[in-house]
Amino acid sequence: MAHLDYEASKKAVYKGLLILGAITLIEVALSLIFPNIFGRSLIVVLSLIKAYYIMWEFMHLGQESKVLKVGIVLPFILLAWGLIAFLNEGNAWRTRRAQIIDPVKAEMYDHKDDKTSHETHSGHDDHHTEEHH
Amino acid sequence: MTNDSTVLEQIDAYDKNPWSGGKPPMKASYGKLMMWYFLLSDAFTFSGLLIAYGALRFSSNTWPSPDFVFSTAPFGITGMPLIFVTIMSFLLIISSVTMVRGVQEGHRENQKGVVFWLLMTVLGGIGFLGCQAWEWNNLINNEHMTIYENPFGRHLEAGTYLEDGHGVHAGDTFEAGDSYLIHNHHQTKYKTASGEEKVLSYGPKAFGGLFFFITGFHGFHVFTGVVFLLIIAINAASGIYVKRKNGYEMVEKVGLYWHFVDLVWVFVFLVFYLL
Repeated sequence: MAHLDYEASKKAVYKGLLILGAITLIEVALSLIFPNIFGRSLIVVLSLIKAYYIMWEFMHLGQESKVLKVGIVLPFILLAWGLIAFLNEGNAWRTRRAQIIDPVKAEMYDHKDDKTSHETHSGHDDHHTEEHH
Repeated sequence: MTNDSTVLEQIDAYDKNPWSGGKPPMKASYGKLMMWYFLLSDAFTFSGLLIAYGALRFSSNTWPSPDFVFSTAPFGITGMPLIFVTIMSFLLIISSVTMVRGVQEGHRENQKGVVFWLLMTVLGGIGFLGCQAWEWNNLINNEHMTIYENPFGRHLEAGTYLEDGHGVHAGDTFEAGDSYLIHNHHQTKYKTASGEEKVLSYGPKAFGGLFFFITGFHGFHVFTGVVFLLIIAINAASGIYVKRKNGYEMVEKVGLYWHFVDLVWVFVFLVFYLL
């Protein structure tokens, strides 16, 4: 706010309030109306815009030196990598767990009578015999 | 052969280098820079927690639906999904705006303006804490959500209820993906599409622990933020900062912390309530 005069600075702040308020309302509406991946992605993008606005304008990061800007923004980009990696990890846990034991299917099938489930679980049986060595 | 002008040029070039010493290399004062570094490290802490939430949620077959879990508000309001948490978000956004106004008044060395806007920010923070306390009380004492037991779940398969439950009657049908609540430990009996009789099972255990820890950790930051704001407001009112003539930089540093608290809430709100 160093280069704006007092009245203009005040106006800029209240404009910020309107922008953040509007984006929040849009996010909540999108969350309730569109439960699909596109709605969710749009909400994430809107939140990133909010974050950019708070950091650049309210925290005045936009007026700091380039070194400081990069020093703050670059680690967050690395965090995005970490987030994607761990979401994949969580997914992998679920699919691996489903391969080993699937509680819903295990309850629904009777193992003695159902040939297909017996074949699916044959991997499980092999694992079991190895343990008994 | 060196002569005076070459030596002076070399000294000038050295002084122009921001890392030559004697001045802040990133143009921000020491205190401000250290606050930024602290906020960066705290952001990593929160990111670790939120990424853990993401990993655990993706590893579960089902997850409670936020607009089903968070649909109550004070004064007996029910069935209004996400309304209360939106109000909480607005409280923090408004408190951030009052904080920026406080910093602006500080730049003009306006002592009374600084104290006024800081106290407005404190009000916003206390309002948010009150709302969060209400939410916790509602979930813990009314819905009996704990870190061991999560009464909110989602059906994996379609079926029909065999008795009355929370918000459902005997004979109501449901689809896979519909939410349910085990109210007062009453695990309602239902019949699946294939004819099996079952009772409602508790939802993923991690939900309670993650929710209470992350919102609690954030609420703790709001609380310490309120304490810091009060300390700086009292300092400003006492006139300590008038002598420093640095545009009330301490107010700006506390402002950075407060905006960080708001920023973390943007992402906690996103992850827990919107996604």
